[in-house]
Amino acid sequence: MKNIRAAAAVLSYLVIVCLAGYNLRGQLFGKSMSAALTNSISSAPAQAAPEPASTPGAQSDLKSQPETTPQLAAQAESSPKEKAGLPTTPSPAGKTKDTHSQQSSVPVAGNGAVDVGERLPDFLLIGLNGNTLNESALRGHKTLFIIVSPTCPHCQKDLKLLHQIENDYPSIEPVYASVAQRDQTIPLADMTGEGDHLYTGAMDLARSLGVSGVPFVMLIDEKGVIRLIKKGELDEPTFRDILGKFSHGQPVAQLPKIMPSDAALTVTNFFGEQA
Amino acid sequence: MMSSKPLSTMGWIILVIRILFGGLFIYTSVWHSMHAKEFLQSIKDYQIISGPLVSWSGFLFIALEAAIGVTLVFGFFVRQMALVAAALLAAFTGVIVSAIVRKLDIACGCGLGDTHVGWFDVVRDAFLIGIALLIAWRDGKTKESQSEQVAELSAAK
Repeated sequence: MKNIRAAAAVLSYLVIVCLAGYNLRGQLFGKSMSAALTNSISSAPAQAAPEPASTPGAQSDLKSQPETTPQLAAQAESSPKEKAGLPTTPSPAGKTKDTHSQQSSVPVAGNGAVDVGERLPDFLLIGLNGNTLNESALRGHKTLFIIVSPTCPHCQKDLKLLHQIENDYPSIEPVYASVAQRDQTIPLADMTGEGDHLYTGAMDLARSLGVSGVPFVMLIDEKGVIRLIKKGELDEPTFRDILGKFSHGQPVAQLPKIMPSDAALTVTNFFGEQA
Repeated sequence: MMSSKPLSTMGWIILVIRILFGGLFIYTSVWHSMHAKEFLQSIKDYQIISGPLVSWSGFLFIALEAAIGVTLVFGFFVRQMALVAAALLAAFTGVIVSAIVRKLDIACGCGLGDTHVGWFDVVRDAFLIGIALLIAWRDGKTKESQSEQVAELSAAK
């Protein structure tokens, strides 16, 4: 009788621990393991198949940059497989490919860097109204993803502006991820009227992406792939231009990387101080 | 084979409390396992540990919760595990108090209604610590009386 009880106890314990381990596997073993798995899955087709045609957007993103950043250059030189794996707008033939196999070939941002053509690492944001948002929830629709800080005046201006114009782009889902706690973010929601789109808990994500200043604007397509990155405050014509093109599926040219002299004007660090 | 005395009324009450208390730990460990990401976010929100420590401490916390729950329900190492449960709850109470003092407006992450941290959580944890200590004390007493019973039987033989 005691043996049966012991066996039942051990079995129950193992079930719970295995469940926890399964649900936490991504966090426990980090990106390195999933990336290794991804590479092992995607490397064979990437070597065998010719380089798929990149989207017009992705091509123009890369070509339109006046200066190739060292990071991008390093990526282009050191990881041609990853480059080959850039997500594509499916051609008629390409439509037969399942989205999972496409997704597995998309490089994941993180380790202090993010670039166009990558997708965000897994994250969990908590909405001001209690809902949660993770990376997979970005799939299936276009997203305007901005990392903000409540104490940053440029973020406040951007969010006020977007509150006025976002209804003109109903196909784009706005997500404003605050690096501050909930109680510090509520005033930003009150000030801008963006409570429904404001989320908290973005500090880890911001660190993972190497974001040093806010607002940090990203346009993310239906497959979760980043199509544009812009650091700093944007004016209304610029927002209308990129959101209009993005909502109609037109290529969005990567804006020039912000220069240090401009940065002083438009970028604020997490603590609300101008960079 | 050792003869065992039938349980007294108090013994039955303690047994039911012990099983409910263990069941509570099993429930919270399963809840934390099922809502692993939210749970890790709660740990981060306390701003005490960060980085890879968060996920491993979350996993160890769930494993410990499950161990406490399973052993109390099935009646193994009752006294030791009740004391571990009391220590764990005491540590958790300290963390909650520190969050209240730092005026953090965060979810408790307890798996019990997912409320925001407040003094109610501290009172609830203090109550649970009391139950854990009661179980540990009562189990100790039962063991003592069993030992006495064995000694009496040996002397009679």
